[in-house]
Amino acid sequence: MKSAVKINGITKKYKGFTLGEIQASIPCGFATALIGANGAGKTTLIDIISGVTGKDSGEAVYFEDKTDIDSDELRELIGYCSSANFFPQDWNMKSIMTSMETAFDSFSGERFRKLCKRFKLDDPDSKKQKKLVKLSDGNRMRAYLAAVLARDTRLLILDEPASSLDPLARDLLCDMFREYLAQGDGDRTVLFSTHNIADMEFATDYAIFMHEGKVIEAGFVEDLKEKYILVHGDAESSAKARPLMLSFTANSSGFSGIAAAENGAELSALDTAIEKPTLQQLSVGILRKAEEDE
Amino acid sequence: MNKKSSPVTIPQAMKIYLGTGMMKETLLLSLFPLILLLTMLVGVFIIGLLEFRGDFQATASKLTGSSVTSFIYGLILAPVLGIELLLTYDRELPGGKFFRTVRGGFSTFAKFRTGLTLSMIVQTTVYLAVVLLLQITKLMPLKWGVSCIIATFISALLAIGLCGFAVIIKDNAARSITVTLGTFAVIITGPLSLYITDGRLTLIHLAAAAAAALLIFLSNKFVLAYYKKYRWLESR
Amino acid sequence: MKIYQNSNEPIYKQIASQLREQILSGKLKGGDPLPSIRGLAQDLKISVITTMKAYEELSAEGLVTASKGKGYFVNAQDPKMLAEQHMRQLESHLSDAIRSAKIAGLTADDTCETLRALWNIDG
Repeated sequence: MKSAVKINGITKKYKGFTLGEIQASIPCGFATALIGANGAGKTTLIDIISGVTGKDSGEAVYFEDKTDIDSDELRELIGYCSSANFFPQDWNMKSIMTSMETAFDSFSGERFRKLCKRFKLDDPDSKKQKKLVKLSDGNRMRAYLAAVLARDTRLLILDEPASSLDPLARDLLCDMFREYLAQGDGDRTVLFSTHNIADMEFATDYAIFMHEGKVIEAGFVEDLKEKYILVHGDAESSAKARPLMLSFTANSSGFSGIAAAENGAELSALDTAIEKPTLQQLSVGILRKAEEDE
Repeated sequence: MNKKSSPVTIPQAMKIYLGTGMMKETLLLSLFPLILLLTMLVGVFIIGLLEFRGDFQATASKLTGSSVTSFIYGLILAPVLGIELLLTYDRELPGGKFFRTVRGGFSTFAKFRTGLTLSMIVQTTVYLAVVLLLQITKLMPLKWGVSCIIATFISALLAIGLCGFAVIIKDNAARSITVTLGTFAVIITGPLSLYITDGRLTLIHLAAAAAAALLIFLSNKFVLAYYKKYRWLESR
Repeated sequence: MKIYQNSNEPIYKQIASQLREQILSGKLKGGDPLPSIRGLAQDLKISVITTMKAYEELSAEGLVTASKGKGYFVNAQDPKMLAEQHMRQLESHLSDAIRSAKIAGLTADDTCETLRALWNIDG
């Protein structure tokens, strides 16, 4: 499987937080979600592989053979976008367009205009435009997304793109991901981080879970859904079920959690309801397990 | 397809960082101190009129004869330069994460900052050129005339050079105060020096001009090197 | 193509069975291209990996083949292979029926009677 980004042993140390060592691969041609709680290190990792922040050690290999993130070539091929601190807040759509068309070859003013219209933002040529600081969080995010999507790139790296968007906008974002991947026909890749995978589930192909600066699980969504099962049971069986479970919450009416699929037979013998987890449920289970393991 | 395989130019770098053309921005910024100046002059004149009970002649001669008015030009320019110096190096500039991912990376930022310094010099020149016009056409002649204008120009350049170093101060408050007060202090030395030399331009002024040019070059270089080493890849 | 997003049956299985149906019934003939995995994902509003898995399953069954760079194509179904596929489907459905019959306490003869009755109705 070809990788769009191969992360080899990247580490970064801050006061009070260590990222690493990270070993991961972002598969080419798919949408990968980097899932973790706030503070898990997602933004740090994304900033490092986008060349926004420096790293202490390790390397990232892009498109199988490129390593210099500062090269003009990679800067053109990679479309990075954050949810905060992206553009100066006194800019409007026109400023974004002026800057982007000077900074990037593949930026299309025409495509930007169309996206602004589609995302219900000010037209970049109109006389009266609102500055970014005056926009709602959701609209500001749409402006950033319009800017990066108006470029012709091979890899989109988006830091928390869905966090400030309402469900309708998230659905639109999923459509944009699929459209982007379809147009690339296997050559384009999407990487995005999120602390809440709901609404993005049907546009996610590969998931990487992070906790406290480390990768705790990764895989194709379909494979992960077969690797784990979601278990619900009565309070009576909870004691017996507990050792078989990976994550476990219980109350007076019963228990539930994630378990390895191999334990499925044993668990169902305990009179439990077993089903395939959604990515959302999987995230909760995997992240909860990581917390419990601390 | 790679039409921009050549390195980014200074005007391009400024367009990227400002979201607007370099020319446009410089012109706009030159206008600002001029408008301030006009407002100030009108204000001072009105105050003078009040004091001299509407006597235009008396007011005019008192104002033009006073050496204190020589300071006005510098005093108006000082905050403008001070603010610009702070803006070009505010911790949040360059604007955001977007700039980290732009072609040319740090060298594009370096060109932007150099462009801003050049822009400040151009603005100062345009501003003082207008003042010169006022002087020559005797619309608002100063006591020490052209010498004052030149002295102010030199001290303005000195301010850009010297205070340029101060922008690396990390603490927001300390930086703002140092740069603002610093620009004031340094610009005042221009007209002030004429009290000592009795209105004449001397070798000292020449030396100061040379020092100013050197300092601008050095502070720009130093600040960029410092920023590249300690701040460019800092997490936001 | 119709899929139930919230059903118990995995989406990729739903897609695979609908396509299998079309191939075995001849609606999709040998040589016909399948929609691109990303295009189909876009149309159905699902992940690319899901359509890919569906296609991979069909490929493993020998119903389709991936052509490098060009996508998936339906394999020419030789009649014997088709008959085998249908046989497999029949066996799978019959096993389900037998299971239900046993739970209901029916004998093999009872079950055959029911089978015959339904066959006649179906015409």
